[in-house]
Amino acid sequence: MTLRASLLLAMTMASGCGGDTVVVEFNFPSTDAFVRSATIELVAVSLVDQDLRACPRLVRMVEVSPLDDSLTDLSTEPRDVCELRSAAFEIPSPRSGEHAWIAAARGSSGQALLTACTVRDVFGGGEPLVMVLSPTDHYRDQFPAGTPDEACTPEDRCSRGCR
Amino acid sequence: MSRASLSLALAASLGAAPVAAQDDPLPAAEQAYLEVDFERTYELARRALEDGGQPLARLTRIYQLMGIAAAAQGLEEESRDAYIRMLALDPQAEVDRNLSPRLRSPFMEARGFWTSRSERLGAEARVVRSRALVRVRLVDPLEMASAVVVYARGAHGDYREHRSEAGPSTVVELDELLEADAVVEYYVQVLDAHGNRLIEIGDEFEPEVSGEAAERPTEGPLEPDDGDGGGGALRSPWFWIVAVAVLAGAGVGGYFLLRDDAVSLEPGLTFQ
Repeated sequence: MTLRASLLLAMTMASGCGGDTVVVEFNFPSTDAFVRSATIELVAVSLVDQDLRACPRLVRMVEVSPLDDSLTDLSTEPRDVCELRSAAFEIPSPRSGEHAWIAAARGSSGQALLTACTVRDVFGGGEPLVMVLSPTDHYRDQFPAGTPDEACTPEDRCSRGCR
Repeated sequence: MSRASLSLALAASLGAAPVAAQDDPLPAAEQAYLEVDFERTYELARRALEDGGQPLARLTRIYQLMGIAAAAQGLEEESRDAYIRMLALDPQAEVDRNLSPRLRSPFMEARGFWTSRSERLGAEARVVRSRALVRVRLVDPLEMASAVVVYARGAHGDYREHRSEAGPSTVVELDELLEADAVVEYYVQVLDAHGNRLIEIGDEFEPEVSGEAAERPTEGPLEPDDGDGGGGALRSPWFWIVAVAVLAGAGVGGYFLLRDDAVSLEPGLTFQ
């Protein structure tokens, strides 16, 4: 069993989820990207007008600043990224229907480092919601190609801190 | 005598009049294929495609004829494209194994194309009662679809057509049809730009059914009086499926689940 599958399975079993539980998988491009992130936030925007091409626009908005509450159906608020490892990251239950799900990992200065967006109607028994986090322009500027790897691991980051 | 004139002579002798071809090009394309007139086969098959309104089975055959005819004329790219579309409609479709390797080669390439892909052309539809709509989720790797048409009706009455532009998730509002436990019958067609049917979910005579169908009065001979007049619903398999879903709190795939309950989300963490 791969590490990824083990991690997902462990979290699923630990939370005692039943058939109405859907896993939201935050997929970081690397462990370095995780270490460089301070907070992670997940929001859902109801697609009332069925604008299935909302993702690019919403990602551009969230890269500038967090989305206003009036736009979102739910929000986790920015949480320490380490809560993802400890499964303390609580996600409110969404209403049914098609939503644009936006995830944003921000650095300590509040700048968006990684973003993800997907359009899904999440329902019990459905497939995991996978948020594939991609670097923003700010991340590429701050950590250009050739930047040395972080000496800190996610375990270090979340147990005793690196920064 | 040239091949073309020979074909024309044969066509005339067999009574394959050009006028008939205009009405329905597919039979004429089949005839041209039998006459080994690949140029005309391709032309007529393409005309049948563009005339539109073809049901799924005929559309598959049209692409098959186009694939063979194009390969025979050395049009490998056109042949491969036709075969790819044929296999999109019918993954089990085959071409005559007696065909020469030159004619089968594009078909084999088309099969390889789909073997390497994880997504296939397909659609699923479900009724969302809380929102009085039918949602059709479409997977269309080749972007063949142009429109999604949902035909729906209540327990009585005629089908009403609801048409939308094709997309990954199409929503069709059903207006007043979804009242309480009202039965909804519906069937769905996914159409290409010419109005040909790429996907058919149910049909007019065997529609998909949502609602308390077990309690609907049935047509045909009455059941013998076995004193179980009130147990009709209990004999319905759908009653038990919904009952188990409610009691166990488990999803039933979403297609026939009429509730609109919140779902619990749990986080997971992975690295690329």
